[in-house]
Amino acid sequence: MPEPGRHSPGVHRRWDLAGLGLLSPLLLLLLFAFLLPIATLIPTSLRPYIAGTGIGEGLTLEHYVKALTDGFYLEIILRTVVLGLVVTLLTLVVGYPLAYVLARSTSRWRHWLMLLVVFPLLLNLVVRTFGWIALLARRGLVNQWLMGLGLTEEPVRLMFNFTGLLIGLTHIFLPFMVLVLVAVIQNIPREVEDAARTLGAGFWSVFMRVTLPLSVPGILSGSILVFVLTISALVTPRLLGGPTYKVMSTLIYEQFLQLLNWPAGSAMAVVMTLIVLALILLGTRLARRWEAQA
Amino acid sequence: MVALVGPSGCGKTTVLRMIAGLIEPDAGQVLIGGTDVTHAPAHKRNLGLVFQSYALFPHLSVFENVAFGLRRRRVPEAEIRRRVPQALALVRLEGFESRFPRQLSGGQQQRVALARAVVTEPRVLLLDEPLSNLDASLRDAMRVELRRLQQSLGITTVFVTHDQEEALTLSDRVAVMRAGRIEQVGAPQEVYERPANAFVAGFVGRTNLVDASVEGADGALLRLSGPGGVPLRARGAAPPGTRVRLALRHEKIRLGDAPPTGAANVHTAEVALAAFAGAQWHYVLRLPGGLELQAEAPSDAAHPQGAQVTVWWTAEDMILLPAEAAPDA
Repeated sequence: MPEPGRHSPGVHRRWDLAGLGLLSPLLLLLLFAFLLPIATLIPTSLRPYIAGTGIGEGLTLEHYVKALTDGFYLEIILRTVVLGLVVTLLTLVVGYPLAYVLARSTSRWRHWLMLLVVFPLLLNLVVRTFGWIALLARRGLVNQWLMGLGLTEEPVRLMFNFTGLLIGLTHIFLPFMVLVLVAVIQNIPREVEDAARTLGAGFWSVFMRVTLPLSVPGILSGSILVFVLTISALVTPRLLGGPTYKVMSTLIYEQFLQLLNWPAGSAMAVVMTLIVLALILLGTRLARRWEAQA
Repeated sequence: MVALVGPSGCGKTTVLRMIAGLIEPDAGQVLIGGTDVTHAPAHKRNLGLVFQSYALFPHLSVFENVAFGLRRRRVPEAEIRRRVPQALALVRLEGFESRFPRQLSGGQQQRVALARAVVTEPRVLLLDEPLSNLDASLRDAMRVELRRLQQSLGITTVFVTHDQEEALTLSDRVAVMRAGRIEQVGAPQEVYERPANAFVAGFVGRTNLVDASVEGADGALLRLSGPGGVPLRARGAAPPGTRVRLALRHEKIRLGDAPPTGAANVHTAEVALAAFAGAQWHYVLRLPGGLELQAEAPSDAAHPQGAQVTVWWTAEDMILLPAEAAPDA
């Protein structure tokens, strides 16, 4: 089995150059379309905001201080992170069994099931979100059923709060989690599971001691993906959360385009970027430690 | 030790997986020690299975790989600490406990898989192409190792191979399979010396298959006429006029030296091709009448291409096979 670590230094060097060549279009795109805009946010975020005129002269940390001390902003940041974590956990819990079945099934329905998982991704995000509005609204389908069944007298608030965002975002990001997990589970050799069975492990034991540990890299990358997508999602939180129930992305949107407070919006955007970066770093660190151990 | 041998795709591995309980047979029974285990789940059968790919647990150390089966049986920790090193010593991998599978060579992985399979003292040890992923020199060493291990443990072993030589050297009984059916079961010598049909004769050992028709009998010897009217003598019984097929092992054809009196088949042949293969020479011999036979002889007496040589073999060397419809061997 070829091991990457065993190549001679010369081979390594040549690969690095070839790799750089192949990556450079992507690197350039990232540099100009992603890194530079984010970098320009930093100076903007340090400017004072003057009501009526916009960006003022001089340097100030007031926007960062406000974002990290003001209860209003702190609550939004905390809410966003918690939302990200809960959505990630939910997609994982719902997605893993689905991914396992998809990866291990030999049925001819497998491809249809896969299509069903991917299908929501083919629909416009706004359309999907309006679908949820129709279901979750005060006079929506879910509330009509709940009241029709006599489970509740008053309509339950399913929108413009945490529940609404949770339902909508979990649904929208589930396919990403499933796709990542299917790929990883499919890569676990079935013979390794068979070996565990012949050694006396029942289905559950095989799953807990072989399949699950071997899918940890996929669980980590799927979780990072869903978390990052969730906390940076804008359309769904805006539509399902309404103008009052805010998360970081809707707050940033509002600061930039409605209040024209670019410095405060930039500061919030930088804070969000840092949270995402910290999580990605933590995730890769965990993955690397896992792989070093395995 | 039983070998299942046959060309690829003949169902050897499927049989092994059925014994292991990883596939359920559509019909028939699997008996282990007289007990019907046909519907018992794999994890309750107490078998050791070594996969062709070894299928070690990549996330567990060598120690934990070997301990896996013991832990599932809730063997006390102290006993695990005793039995795992024992099993590793058996396959000569002492000191490798804390390594991970990807840090091991193919041969070492193979031995870990073996230790993992035998540590639980299974009723039957199943080996799926245990040597096919190893290079030639390692394969020879492991073949001896396997035989030694199996004899010292005394575990009933079923192993699958497409390599007939491996099957002959390793096993007490050989089952030759073709297209899901067992063509012949027997001791290695028996299968080799008395193949049941042309397929077995062709698959086990290197064999010339010669079509001939029976002309008559001289006592226990048949007089036959081969392709191009070559006269042949073989032991057996068949009415005159029947078409038969004869198997003649490459190494049974003797070249050059004077045939003993009473040698049943003596011919003068032309060496159409001579190829050096280390310990032996491989020849293609053309007999008068056009019949071509392949032969092997020790390399100390070489015959150049184009030379005329005396060749001979006994009546017993020619094995009379039942006529077969599909001559695909």
